Amino acid sequence: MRRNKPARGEPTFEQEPVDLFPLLKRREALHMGHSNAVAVQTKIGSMSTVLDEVTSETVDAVHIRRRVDDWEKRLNGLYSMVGEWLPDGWQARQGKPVIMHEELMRKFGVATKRLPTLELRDQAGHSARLEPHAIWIIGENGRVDLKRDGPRYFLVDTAENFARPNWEAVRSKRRCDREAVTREWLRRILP
Amino acid sequence: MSDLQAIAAVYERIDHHLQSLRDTEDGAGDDPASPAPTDHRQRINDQAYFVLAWGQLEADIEEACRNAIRDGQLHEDRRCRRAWSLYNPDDRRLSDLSFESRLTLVLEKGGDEWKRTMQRHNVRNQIAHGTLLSTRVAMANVIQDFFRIQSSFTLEQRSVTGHWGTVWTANRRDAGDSVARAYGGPS
Repeated sequence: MRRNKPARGEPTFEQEPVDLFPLLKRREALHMGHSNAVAVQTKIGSMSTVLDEVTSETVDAVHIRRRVDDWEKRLNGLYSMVGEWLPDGWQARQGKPVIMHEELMRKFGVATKRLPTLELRDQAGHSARLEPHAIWIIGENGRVDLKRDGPRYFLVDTAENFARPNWEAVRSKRRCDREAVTREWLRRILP
Repeated sequence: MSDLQAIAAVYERIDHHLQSLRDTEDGAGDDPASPAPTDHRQRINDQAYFVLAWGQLEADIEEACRNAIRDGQLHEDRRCRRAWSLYNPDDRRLSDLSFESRLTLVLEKGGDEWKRTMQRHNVRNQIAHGTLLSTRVAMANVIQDFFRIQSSFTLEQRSVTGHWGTVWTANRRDAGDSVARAYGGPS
């Protein structure tokens, strides 16, 4: 996965000491007879990926809220970028918001969040819609679905948590091929 | 990991179908208190396939470990051969080596690939022992990463096992790279 450094001034959790995988340590000890599990767990990175988050017991509601707010900012940034890159004849407008209430939010009592969507239309009647799917996906830092006639695309942020986004596009029926989300890509996939 | 691409293909078809069902549910209303049932099904499906895909990687790690032991037992330095003779590469349980020890025989302990593999091993254990994750899993990303990990076994073998290890390493590396390329992984 491509790793992006956080932009200057952006918050990061990388320096915070966290005790990862305490639950798994116990599980290993109980079920696997794995005497070195503790040593292994504490060496594994910081909370810079979704995998780190979902396997840590140090995550709290403050962290989850911060991630949700960051997700909203990243979505708005993506939509602005897409709006600027539209080919002639296409227009973007805010769509009906979607409600975000992922399991980690429910687990930590974080309230639902209304997230923006983006509707794209051209003069010939073609349309597409950008809609957030989820932020907590192991292996990605959030996914936005591009729904339209024809193949669907997933736009995934492959950057680390709280880092500058790195959006890549993947076809839903051919997920092993990824390409950067660029003006050229957008103009190629819109009819 | 001969079946990994097939596993990935089946996963994609099933998830695509589930996604179609989810679109229908999404259109039916936005009640945040009751998330779409298909959301839960997709998470279960992701995790089932994660464990299935992990099995492919684990089998290759085990095979690489057996080869490392065999190569080590052919080492030109008898002191080195003697050390490797502690392990029996033909033992079904590989002399009761833990997964961590097996991995350490084929990857540098504490290195990025080693850490990532251990992290995924822990996730596999969590799922396989009954605690499902609360998130989805990007299987395409995970599978590409498994190919990357597989390719990296070989670099570590070189410094440990000498000439025979180098030959074996080169073959394994070529094979790993070609599969990774086919699946869109690193070349």
